[in-house]
Formats: sequence, C-alpha cells, structure tokens
Amino acid sequence: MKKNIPEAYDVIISGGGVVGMTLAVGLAQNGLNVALIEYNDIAASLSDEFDGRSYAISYAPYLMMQALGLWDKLAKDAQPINEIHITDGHSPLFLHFDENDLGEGPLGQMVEVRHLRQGLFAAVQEQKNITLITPDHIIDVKNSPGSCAVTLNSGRKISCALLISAEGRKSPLREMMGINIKIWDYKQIGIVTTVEHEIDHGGTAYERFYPSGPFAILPLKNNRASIVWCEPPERAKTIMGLSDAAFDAELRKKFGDFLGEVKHLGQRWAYPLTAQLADDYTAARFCLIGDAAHGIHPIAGQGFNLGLRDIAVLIETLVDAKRLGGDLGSEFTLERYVRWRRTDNNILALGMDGLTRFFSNDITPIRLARQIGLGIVGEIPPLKRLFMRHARGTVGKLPKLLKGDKP
Amino acid sequence: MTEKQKKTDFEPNSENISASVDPGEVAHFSAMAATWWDPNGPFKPLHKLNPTRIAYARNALCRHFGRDPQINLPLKGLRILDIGCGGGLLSEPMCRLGATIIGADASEKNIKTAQAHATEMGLDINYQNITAEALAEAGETFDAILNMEVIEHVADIPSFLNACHSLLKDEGCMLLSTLNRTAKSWAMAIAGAEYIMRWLPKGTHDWHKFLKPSELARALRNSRFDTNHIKGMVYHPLSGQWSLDDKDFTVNYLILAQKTPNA
Repeated sequence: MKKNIPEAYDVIISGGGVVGMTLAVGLAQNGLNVALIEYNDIAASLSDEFDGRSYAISYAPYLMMQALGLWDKLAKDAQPINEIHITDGHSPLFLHFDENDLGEGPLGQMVEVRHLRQGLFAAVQEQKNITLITPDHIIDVKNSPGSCAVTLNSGRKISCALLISAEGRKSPLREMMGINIKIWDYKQIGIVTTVEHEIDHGGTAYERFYPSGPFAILPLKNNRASIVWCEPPERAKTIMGLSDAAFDAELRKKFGDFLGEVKHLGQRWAYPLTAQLADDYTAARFCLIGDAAHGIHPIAGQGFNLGLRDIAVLIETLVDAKRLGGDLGSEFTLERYVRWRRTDNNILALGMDGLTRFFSNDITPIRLARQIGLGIVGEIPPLKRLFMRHARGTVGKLPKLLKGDKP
Repeated sequence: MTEKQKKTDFEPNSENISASVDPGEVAHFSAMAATWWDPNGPFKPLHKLNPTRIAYARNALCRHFGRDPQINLPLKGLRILDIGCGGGLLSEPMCRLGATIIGADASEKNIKTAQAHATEMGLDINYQNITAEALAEAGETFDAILNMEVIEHVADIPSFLNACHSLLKDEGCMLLSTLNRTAKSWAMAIAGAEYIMRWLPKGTHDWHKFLKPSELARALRNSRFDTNHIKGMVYHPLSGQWSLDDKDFTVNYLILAQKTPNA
C-alpha cells in the first residue's frame, strides 16, 4: 500500500538555473522540503571555463544573498559597482550615480555566470532539505484538491503542495498550465561578451544610449568588463560574423579608448531582445517565478534582480504560511505572492520598455529632451536618489530578505 | 488509498473514512468545503482573520508549553480540542503544526464539511459531531482547548465553560476569542461585516449575545478558570489585514485561560 504513495514535498521547483537554485536554498534553509528538477545534468553543465556572461546583482538582492549565506561563496569573484555613468551616446551631458549619493555601500555587484552557478550548486548540495533530481523533467501534472502530483520523464512520481516554474522565458510548465504571455520585440539584438582593458575601471559602470541601441560596460574583476551591446538585427548579424580582430575594431568604436587598449575574451553571445509578461503568475497549486513570469529588456541589468526579488517575496510568503500551518499551494497563499510582486514587475518592465524606446531613436527633440532630462535628474538630489533606489531595488514594501534579514 | 496524497510532515488518513459513506453526500460536502475554504467566498472575513488568530494561538501555546514557534511541527505531541470547529479553518493549520486535533461541532453539516476537506488535504483530524458537554461526559481530556468565535453562539455559557474545565488537563490552557459588545462592534460586525459588506452569512452573529471582556472573565472565574492575558484584534480596512493589539479590545479580543489551582 505504501508504494502507491508518491514522494511528497512541500514544493517542487522545475528549473535548476540561478533562480531555481537560489529559491530552493532559501526555502530549504527555512524548513521546507524541496524537490529541485533540472532538465540538464547540473553537475555536468558546470564549467570552470569562462563563457563571457555575467549578472548584475543590485544592492537589496545582494543583502538577500548575504542573509541566505550565499554571498560567502560569491564574494571573492564579485566586482562591486561603485559608480554608474549614464550618457546619451557620446554626449558630454550625463547622469552620474555613485555610492556616496546614498551612503549605503556599493550600488551593485557584478558576478560571472559560471561563479554564480558553481556557488549556488555547492549550496544546493549542502542542503539536506533539497532533493535534487537531474537530469529529468516533468511530463505530466495532475491536481487534486489537496495536492499536485507530477510524473517525471524517468517515470518517477512525486507530489507537492505547490509546483513552481523557474524554467526561464520558455517555461514548458507555463504552457502546460495554459498561461499566455505577451511579448514585445525590440527588433534589437543584444551582443554580450567580456573585454579586457589596460586601465583600471575603478568599479564604474557605463550605460550609453545610442540611436541604434544601448551599450553598457559593466566592471568585472581583474581589468575586465562585461559588455551588453545592442544593435538592430542586420547589423548585429554582421558584427557577430566578424573575425576576432575585426570585432575588436568595431568594439573600440563604441567603447572608446578611455580604458586604454581593449579586446574581447571568450565567447560572444547574441540574444534577440524581447520583453515578455505572463498574463497570470499563478494557476491552481502552481506559480511562476523569475523569467518564466517576466522577462525585461536587459538595459539596466534588472532581469536577474527581478527574479531575486520574486524569490525574496515567495520565500517570505511560503515560510510564513508554513509557520502558520497553512496550505502552501492554496489560492490564499498564492494571492499574497502575486499581489506583492506583480505591480513591481510590471512597472519595471514598462519602465525599461519606455526607456529603451525613448533612447533608441534619433529624432532631435527627443534627443534634446533626454539629454536635458538626464541633466535635470542629475541636478535634483531627491529625484536622483529615487532613481538610484529603484536601480538598487530598495523601493516599495520590502520583504525581509531584501533588507538583509532572515524571514 | 488511490487518490490520497501523503503530504510532508504528516501521514495520510485512511482509518477514519467510513466505508459506508454515500458518494453523493461526499460530493455535496466537498462542495460545501470548497465554499468554506474559498478565500473570497462567504467566509472571507474568517480567512482574513485566520493568520492573526493562528499566529496568536501558536505563539500562546508555544509559550505555555515551552516550545519554539519557528521550528517545523512546534505543536507536536499536544492533544488539542478545537471546539466549534466549523469547516476546520483552525483545525487544519493546527494539525499541520504537529498537534493531534479533535475538531468538535454541534452542526453535523459542519463536521461532514470539515471531514471532506481534511480528507482532500490528506490531514488526519478527528472530527466529531458532539458538544463540549458530551465530550466531557465521555471523560476526554486535552492539553489545550481552542475556543474561537464560539462563545457568542452558546446558549448556556456556565454549562459550556464547566464542560471545558473538565475537558482541560490541569496544566493545560484554553484560548478564547470572541466579539465585544460595543457600539463599534455593532457597527462593524453587524452593519459592516454582515449587512453592508455581505461578508458573513446573515444571522451569523447576534450582537446581543456578545460578551464584554469583564463578563467573559467573570464567567470563566465562575467555572474555575484564571484569566491573565487579554489581547485585542484590530482590523485595518485599507490593507484588509488584522493585527494584535494590547489595548484595543473594542471589537475582537482574545483571552488565555488556565485552570484555577485547587486551593
């Protein structure tokens, strides 16, 4: 009789990427029993080899990483962002943020994807409350009023109170649950790579808005920087097809020579730039988190941060429910998560959308307006601080983790 | 055992499902349970109130029995009576927190509804269609009694509280919550909650039966209980949330009662 009972967990997380792993660790630390399922073999996909991709972690999510004990595993490879320069192309007018404006320490931290994945995977393996199932994936979901039963490709059957998709933009579970998404196509490609430069960047990030698309220089350790270089599809295709030497020559035109000699390292990546929002974040005993719920333009490096903010709220919601003997997958529990996150995510998605459209054109009055606008924001300290708090993720009703407290 | 789901931290119940249950009746009570448990349904006010009173009950019980409220299963091993359990909105969370729960209600409909929902949730709760007096007569005893939103419905309060006294172990405690008889509670609970907001089904509360804290304390003393701990529960209309309050008892309040030691 016992063998008919599926293995039961508080939650099942589908997707063992950076969002899924961080969420799993946070929930497990607080007494929830978690199954983490990843399509690819996670251990085999961890590589020491540098692949050119990095994430920005802004201040509030950085406090959460500390509170979850994850920062210890990342700190030695992370580069603090001490200043941000935002300019309209090569215009001399610019908006400048530095840590002294808020007096709360670095504005953010740059972490390479490989270090993040390795650190998180180590933390997942240390957690006895996490059952890691990889490589495997969910092929069937059946809800009963009191629980959600899933069948895995391997034939294994497990159940939970709440099923969570941290599967990224193309979430198969989201589709299986019949949740639609809206997609905006920016008709731009984001070229991502890492560069090495001669002169110390001093922890300064640069965001330049060109009519063809934004260009960002994000500081990394050891005189290196991560580049996000947006171009229209045709031009991006040409740039991606260039030889290494020709690519570096094109790069220097955008980058300039203020950090001395510049050349790229490792792989180049090209991502079609789109934004997307799911029509719903939840279904019965199901919720979306991170890019599965919302993908935004990478212009301000907020994509992963939004995922981390989802995580902070979902952890607090589920831990509170668990400690009150609540049903973790109930409408009552999920409503709190949705109410708390949805507005924030939509505002940011729309804000990034507007910002991109505002900057990605060369109509003279608009260009003048934004140059003056940047100048004005820079001249009004309270407005500037509000902008910065948004960038750092310290605006709105914060969950405890984003203040650096335990839930 | 086919559609039963084992959930973390507790065992599924199979023993207490009678083989003679009529499937049509089960469907009916399942539907009733869905209504009780719909956070936006007719019992919305109770759902809103629930996290606050559960947190209060959990913390009070943990304090009384010397336990850590932050751990999993903080109430493990405690035998608790949820008197007037209704659809089980308190019994289920208390069960998930590890307590052994006996849910009692004078309404057979409520008991069947609560049982149907607990079965769906895979929770092992012993629901009985029985009164406090009858349980006492059967010689049952408990570590704690949850007496929440009940006393305002009770016809013979002394008899009820005497029964609670014999149901409670000497070292145990009883948590009561009810509505105060004030102008504000009249406005909120009757005019506000019931008729205007149409939150609770009509006739759920009769304002004239509400007890002032002093009256409840006197009734408890007469039934040989000591009361030394009272808290208010305050509703915040803008956020739709409740919170505990040390001073404002004008609408909802909670009292912790212990047996008066034998002199």
